[in-house]
Amino acid sequence: MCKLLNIENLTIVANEKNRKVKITDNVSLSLNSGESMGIIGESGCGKSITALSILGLNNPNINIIDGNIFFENICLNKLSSGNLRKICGSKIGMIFQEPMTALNPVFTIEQQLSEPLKIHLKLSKSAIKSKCIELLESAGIKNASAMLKYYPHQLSGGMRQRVVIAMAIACKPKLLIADEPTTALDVTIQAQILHIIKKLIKENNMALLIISHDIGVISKLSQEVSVMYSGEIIEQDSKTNIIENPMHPYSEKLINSAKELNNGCNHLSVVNGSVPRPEENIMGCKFAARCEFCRNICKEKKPSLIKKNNGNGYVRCWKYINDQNLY
Amino acid sequence: MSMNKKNVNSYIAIGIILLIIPLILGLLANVLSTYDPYETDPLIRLKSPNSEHIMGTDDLGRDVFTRTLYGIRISLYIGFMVTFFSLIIGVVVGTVSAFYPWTSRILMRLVDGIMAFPTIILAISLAGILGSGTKNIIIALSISYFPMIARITKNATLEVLGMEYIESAIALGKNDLYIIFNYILPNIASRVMVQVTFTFAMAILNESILSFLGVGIKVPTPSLGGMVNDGRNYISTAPWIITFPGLIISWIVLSLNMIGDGMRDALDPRCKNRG
Amino acid sequence: MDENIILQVNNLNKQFRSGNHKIQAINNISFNVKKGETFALVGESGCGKTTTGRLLIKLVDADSGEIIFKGTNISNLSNNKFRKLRPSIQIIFQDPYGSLNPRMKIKKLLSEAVKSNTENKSDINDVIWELIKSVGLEVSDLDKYPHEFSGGQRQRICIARAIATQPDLIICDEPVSALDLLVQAQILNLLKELQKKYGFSYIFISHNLSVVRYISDRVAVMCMGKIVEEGTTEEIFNNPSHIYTKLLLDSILDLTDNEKSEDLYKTYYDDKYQVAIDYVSKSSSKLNWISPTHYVLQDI
Repeated sequence: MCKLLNIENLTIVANEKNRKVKITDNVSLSLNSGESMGIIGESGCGKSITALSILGLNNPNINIIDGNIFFENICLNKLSSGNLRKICGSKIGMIFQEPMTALNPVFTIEQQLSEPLKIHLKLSKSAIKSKCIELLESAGIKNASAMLKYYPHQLSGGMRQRVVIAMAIACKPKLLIADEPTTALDVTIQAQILHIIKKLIKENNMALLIISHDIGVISKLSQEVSVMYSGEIIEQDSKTNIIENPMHPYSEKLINSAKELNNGCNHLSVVNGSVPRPEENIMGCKFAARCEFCRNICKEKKPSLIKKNNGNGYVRCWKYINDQNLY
Repeated sequence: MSMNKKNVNSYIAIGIILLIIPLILGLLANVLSTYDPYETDPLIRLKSPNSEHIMGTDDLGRDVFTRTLYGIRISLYIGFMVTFFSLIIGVVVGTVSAFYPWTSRILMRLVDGIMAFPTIILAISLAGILGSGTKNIIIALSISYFPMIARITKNATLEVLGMEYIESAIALGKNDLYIIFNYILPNIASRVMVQVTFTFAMAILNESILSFLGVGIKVPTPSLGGMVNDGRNYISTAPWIITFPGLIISWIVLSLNMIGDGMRDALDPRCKNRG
Repeated sequence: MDENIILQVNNLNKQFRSGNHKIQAINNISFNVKKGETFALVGESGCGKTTTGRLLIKLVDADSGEIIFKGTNISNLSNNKFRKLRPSIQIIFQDPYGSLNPRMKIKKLLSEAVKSNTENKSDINDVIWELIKSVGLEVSDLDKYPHEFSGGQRQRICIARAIATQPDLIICDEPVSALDLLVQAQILNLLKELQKKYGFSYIFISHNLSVVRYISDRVAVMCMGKIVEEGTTEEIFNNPSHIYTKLLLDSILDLTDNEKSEDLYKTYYDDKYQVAIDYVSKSSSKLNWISPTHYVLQDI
């Protein structure tokens, strides 16, 4: 069976003033229909760029120099922008971080919501209106018919995000991409939105690719998790394995800090230093300088992503390459 | 796509090089030419360009090349002074009215009032009231141009005042004067400078227009606009009188506009992102 | 009055007007902060927590109420008189990119802060060196501009600036919300460490309950301009008594126990939220004391 989404060895480069900076390095991901995958990482690790490049939404100075993105066996990065747009609108839905910028301030909710229905589904006028109401209601908006006449600025952040979700699922896409969908929202609203997304992907059997810096959000929505650090995937496994038994030292620190904060503790364990800048040329493992298990080889040679011994996951760390028998 | 960063910088560079040429010509007027710009000689009236007078002579037999060089000097001097005074007045009015909103009612009404007139008409009427002469032209043009700078300063200041670093300075107990000089002016400087280059260009152009209309520099002082005015009557018989000063005016205004455009694009974040 | 209390706020009110619309941003709030403790204001956006922080350092003037700082009522002081007191109350903002003057080098940013405390007589370079090291940066960083630093490092600079005046109280307005998790941990530990060393008090404003639990001694939960519940951190987290506090605590995304949160989602979340909001808007100003340190706002 073919994969719904298959990203192979994606390497993305940003052209800055007079040099090229690698933003992602050999990122591979795959997603079957109905599955959900979360990408977690700190700001600037390349997770959003990866997601945006699926839809070809990156800045013109950011280019894919290697690798391919296949969606239902169609290579998206080689399509013309017109053909790409056709697929994007109908088969891939996108939820953005900032709902205000994702909506056009000069059109009413109805006008914006009916546009994809008109273009991709070619519905009649009366059908469009009832479909709009149905979509808004499925996104958890109660007085949907009154909401149609509103402009985005008249709605609260949570309501706007629901409208964005309604727009994203308008054409029953097979894949939903959510880029930090709740980062701009309050905690109580966040819980509501996550619940709605979860309900919708289940009902419509959509695949979900969720990008977040918050392991809490990822753990609510996805079965599989990829951990990114400085443009590379360093660990990929099921959610339970990542949360209960993270193997890469970085994932371990990340999960532990989140757990410590959530469960209450007296002293947070700290990783010193900061993420390397993308223009830094690092020969070995990108995390080596901050890692407590760092050995000579870590600084000299980049570890490859290897299959974990105890399951289906992958990890990129010398610790598991040399002492395989340990695990 | 608009120009990328490299092109923007080369815009500024070309503009500066273009501006340096007339600047040197003006400064070295007495070295480059041995003639007296005021000396008339009826015997050589309306001579076309030749080896002795490379730009020819005018209706009173004065050397056009020499008068153009001195004209550049006057024009640049007026442009510089007008820019200087409108900058000082504009920045003071702009920052004060942004910093103390109650003053804005008076100051900004005044600015709006002045801006309601087309600049050239205002400058002509002011020059008419004050009378001609270098000093009066500087006053008239400064009054016409400071409102634009005041308006831009005020908007830029209001934007900076909304930043959290201003609040952190207030929290340190810094007084208003300290905040204006250390926080506001350095952060609005780039935006104001763009307007300043345009003001410089407009001042030179308008001085020429005023002189052309006869309310500017007094005859016989050589000014580029005045020379264009003089040459008007001989445009068919002695076109060199009007051509050379006219070209120089366009040259200077073009170079200043190039610097201004380049600076504006370099500072515009939208262009930067695309870059 | 208790010797230990350095800040006491009584019946503070603030109304904002936009056109004919009036918004009661702060509705009759009272609290106090003791020397050396961390007092947290928790709530969602628009609850008035940030406005409270601004009222305390008079970036905004209150409509009514008292702010007593070390025995002086600062709410009716003129700006000129308050300027002398300003160095004793400092503020750290959420956005480490907007809160440092981009045209100043770090050295200047720190020296201007040190100079605002006139009592400081020691050599200014020594003080700056000590400051920059105490927040975990290098002396060589002094000659750089703010844009050369990452978000976490900038927040360290903001902290260095805030402690440079040797303040008694630092208001931290969402100081870690814009930072990544691992950097958050670094900054939170730094704040704790510095407090232990210098003994100042924090007012910690945040929407993130996990962070608040880690750093604070006492917590006040705010909603719609009111403090709906106040108590020690243990009391608030182990025995939340107000419906809104309970809702907030339920919203923390749990990593381990998925069953509990699944159930929670099933009982319609937005209904609960509406109920809580209605409850707060109707509640009186009467307090219901659960323990000497713990109270909730009473229903009518």
